[in-house]
Amino acid sequence: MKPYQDYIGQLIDWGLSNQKIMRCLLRAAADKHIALPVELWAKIDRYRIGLDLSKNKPDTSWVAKFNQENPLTLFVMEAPEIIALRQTLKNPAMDLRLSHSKVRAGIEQTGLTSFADLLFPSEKTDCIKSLGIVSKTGRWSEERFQKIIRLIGEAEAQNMTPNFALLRLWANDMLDLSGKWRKQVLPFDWVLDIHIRDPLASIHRQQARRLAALFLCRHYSDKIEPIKDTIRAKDIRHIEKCSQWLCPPERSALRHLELISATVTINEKIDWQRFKTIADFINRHINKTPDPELLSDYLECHVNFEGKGRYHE
Amino acid sequence: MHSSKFGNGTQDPHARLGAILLPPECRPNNPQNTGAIVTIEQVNYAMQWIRSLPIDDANFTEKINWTIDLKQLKMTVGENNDLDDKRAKIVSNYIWEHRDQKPDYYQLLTFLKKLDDIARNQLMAAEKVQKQKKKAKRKQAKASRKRNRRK
Repeated sequence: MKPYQDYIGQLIDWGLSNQKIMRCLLRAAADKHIALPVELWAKIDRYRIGLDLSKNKPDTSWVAKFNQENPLTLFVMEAPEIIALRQTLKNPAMDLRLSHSKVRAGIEQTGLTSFADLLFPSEKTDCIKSLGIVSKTGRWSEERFQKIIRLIGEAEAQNMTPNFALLRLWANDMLDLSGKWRKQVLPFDWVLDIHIRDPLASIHRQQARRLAALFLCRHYSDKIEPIKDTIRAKDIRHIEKCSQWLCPPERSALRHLELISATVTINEKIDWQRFKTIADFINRHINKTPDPELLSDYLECHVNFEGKGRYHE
Repeated sequence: MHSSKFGNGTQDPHARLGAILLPPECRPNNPQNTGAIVTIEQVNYAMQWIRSLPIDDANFTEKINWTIDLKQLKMTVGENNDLDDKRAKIVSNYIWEHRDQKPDYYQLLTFLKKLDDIARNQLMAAEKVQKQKKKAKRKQAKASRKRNRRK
């Protein structure tokens, strides 16, 4: 069942008249393709009744009043701050050529600081386009705007703290709110950004990419397949499994890769050969319960590659 | 609507609606009637259930809103907005079964929508059965024609 907000946004984007939108919504609700809240359904149904009553009657001022209204005020029941946010984003002054800081300032002026943080953590054009609120040609997408507002609301209702990276994955149907990947192939950088507040230095991104490649190299050879722009969902799950040998499971695997690379490179370069050994050992024991102690025993040569010989000394 | 016409048995739709919306203990010709006298609070209470606007709203008494509310609850039908007594009785029964609750138009609307959905589903199921029966009958007729031809 499609969320009704997205469906209304889609109808508005198609440029349908109020009457057509009304009929589409009522039909979709009757056929159970969407679930409208009763208050909204009642409002739309009143519009239909009003139109029926006004047939062949001289006084149609009531219906005219309805028709003059914008579809957004007629069919979308939303909080004043969301209306203000849309107005701000759609304002010609918010032209894509405006600088990122000016856009943030514009949003903050409307008292929507949290939205400014959420929607524009970095370069504005990239953010707004990768979220899909504005298409590559600069066209506003009401459907995507509705979707994003709905996702923020749903995440907050589930006591989750949405951030831009999560929102970007949710909005592009790559991840659902329960944390399940919905696409088989995902942009590596988008996944890497999930738990990162500050923009990541490109060197750390590259290192995280290489560390992930080492985890994914399961044939113990020196030939490592580099990770390009995308990563498969099943590979993310594998890295998560691997990283449970290195860090507590509640932390993001890719975030941990970034941490390893960031920490190790402050004083010295990453010992890639050593890390390959670690990755090989983890891959050898990947189907066992994660045991960081066994890994450290292996690195201290207390156990062999098979994990045997632990209690001999 | 709020006049003293309630329950006087006339054919006036307003009076009929008023009589139907009375609490069961005050409804004329009702076995549950205890002879209790209806109070203005009870009348207002029932009215608030069937109005989408709060009683203190400036547009509460506006005719178009009133008409649409009744139409939306399907208490009136047709171009002349004739009162549907059966539906009005369902509404009245619901109101007085929930007399301990605050009047809520949308709660009532949800209940009625559910009823309509059930009725619609039953109708569709009945239509489906009819169609299947017709199909079976046609099949049977075809088979018997075939048999007759062979003879």
